[in-house]
Amino acid sequence: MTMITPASDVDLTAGELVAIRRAFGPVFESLAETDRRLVAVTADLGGSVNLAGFGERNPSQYFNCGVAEMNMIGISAGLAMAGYVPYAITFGSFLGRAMDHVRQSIGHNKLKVNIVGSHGGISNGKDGPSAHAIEDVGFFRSMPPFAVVVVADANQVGPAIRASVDYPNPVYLRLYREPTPVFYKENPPFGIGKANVLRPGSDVTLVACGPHAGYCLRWIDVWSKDVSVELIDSHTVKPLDEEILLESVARTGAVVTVEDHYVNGGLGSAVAELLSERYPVPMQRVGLTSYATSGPYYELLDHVGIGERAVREAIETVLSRRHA
Amino acid sequence: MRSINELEAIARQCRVDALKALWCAQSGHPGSSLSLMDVMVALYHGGIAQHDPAHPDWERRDRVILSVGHAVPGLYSCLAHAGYAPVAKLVGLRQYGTGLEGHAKRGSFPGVECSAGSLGQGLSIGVGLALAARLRSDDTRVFVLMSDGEQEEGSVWEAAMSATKWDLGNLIAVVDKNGNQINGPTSVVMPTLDPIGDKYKASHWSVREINGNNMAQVVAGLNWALKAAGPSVLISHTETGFPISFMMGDYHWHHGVLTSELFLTAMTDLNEPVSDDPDETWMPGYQPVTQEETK
Repeated sequence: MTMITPASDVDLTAGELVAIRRAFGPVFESLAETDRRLVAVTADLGGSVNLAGFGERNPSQYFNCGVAEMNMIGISAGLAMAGYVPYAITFGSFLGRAMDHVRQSIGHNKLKVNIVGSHGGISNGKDGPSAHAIEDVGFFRSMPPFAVVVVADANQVGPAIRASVDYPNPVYLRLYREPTPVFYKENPPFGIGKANVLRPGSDVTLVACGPHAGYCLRWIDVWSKDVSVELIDSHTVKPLDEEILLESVARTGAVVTVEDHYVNGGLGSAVAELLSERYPVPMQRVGLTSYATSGPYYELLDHVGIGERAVREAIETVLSRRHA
Repeated sequence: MRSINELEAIARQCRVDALKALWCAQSGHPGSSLSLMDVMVALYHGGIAQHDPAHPDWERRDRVILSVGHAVPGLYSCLAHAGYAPVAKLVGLRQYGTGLEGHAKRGSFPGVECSAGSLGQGLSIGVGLALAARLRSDDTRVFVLMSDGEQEEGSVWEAAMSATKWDLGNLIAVVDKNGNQINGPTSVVMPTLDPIGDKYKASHWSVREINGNNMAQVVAGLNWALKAAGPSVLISHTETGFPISFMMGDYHWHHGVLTSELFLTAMTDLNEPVSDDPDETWMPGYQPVTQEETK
């Protein structure tokens, strides 16, 4: 039974912009107050996810490891071995150096450590490519035990964290820096591995994750007189909601993916893997093809080829391929 | 409490059986399995570590993290002789389905606490375990066993700094300083690796140097570490492959294949009587591979 979010659960009218990462701290704190297994372990970036106050109020549940991502992962593994449920938190861009510790200290030990990569994609636009995370989803997709959740808006943060606490596998949670549109109503339905259909459509399936789900909602409303797009928020990139994707693609016969990530290794690759084995249809992937540069986030989207124009062109291309 | 003589006898037997397993496997890491053996024996057989072989998951046990994961043949032998598994299981070292993994793997063999092999990760895990013990307000201690070459991993020093930040008096590290690593002597591979002890002192650890192949010094050192202020480390000076004549001090025995001839020499070095040709005296449970099977 797939969970379908009817259009009535989506509300763009408020037009409110909220930073997804800022929503993390209060939710985590409210959970950690009653669930003492929860501990935050950071590489000196707890403040970036709004946890500084939590750390001061709860020093026994907050550990700042310094600028030391490998140590953050190892300490989290040790705490998990002893029965705690650590959230290891830093920028997504700085996790790459710690992936061997993720592999062995968490993966081989079969431990439950949830990892939070804030500032996903190019959402930390002005800091430039050293602070952009465009490989992180690929890193964690390739780690056997990990689920990968890319949070779409501030209202999805709470359900995503709550779902991650007792999910049997470790979870990578990707957050974003800049304020992005809030389009889910409060406490939207959420299950790890359960995608949400945001808009039904008949011409093409558009699969998005992260704030792009919200951007696409706006864009497809503008395009609605030309093309009927079925929009899916595939907030879980691993495991994919195979049922909902296959059912949608079987109806539309064409698929476009869009993500704020390198075009290889992320959502597009995951969907391509699924469809190539189970239901091949014309497909276009929208994602970064190289490193970005510094710039305001919303300007960069177009420059790096993940803005409205790129998605529209991909839809035109995939439709022409389907009709060819 | 066992005497030093009794512990030395156990260490000898653990070395014999580690080498028998390594001979069976025709691969593996004898150098550090043997250099680190006295420390492992003191921990598990000398009353240093709180543990219960009948209940490997006992919550109040001390955690022993073998960060130098390739020394695990030595640990298997030490654990087996402590009662965690039948000694006859050692015949399965590095064989499919036996659980005697080539590098330490959590849950694969009773008493093995942590996966390792990619070096430099155990000390951070030890910091996490030591923090957890403090959060639970229990008296468990954490021992992290590392090699000297492993100190070249930067993550060791990330962990070392954080251990003093949180003043983890329940964290005890041992650096098995056998002076060798896979491609050469540590002094050649990384000339400024030494002085290791001073590097820990600079991070405000309690540091003591011992002869790690002298059981009396090992026991005294570990007992000192249990009482030392803050996190403590023993720089444990050892010999690669101790006390095997052809291995001692030779970095090539970081990893190596024991031919039958070398195996017999090693058994002679350890005063272990075995037959001239492979049989059950070479390894309990050993069965010669027939020509039919090798086709």
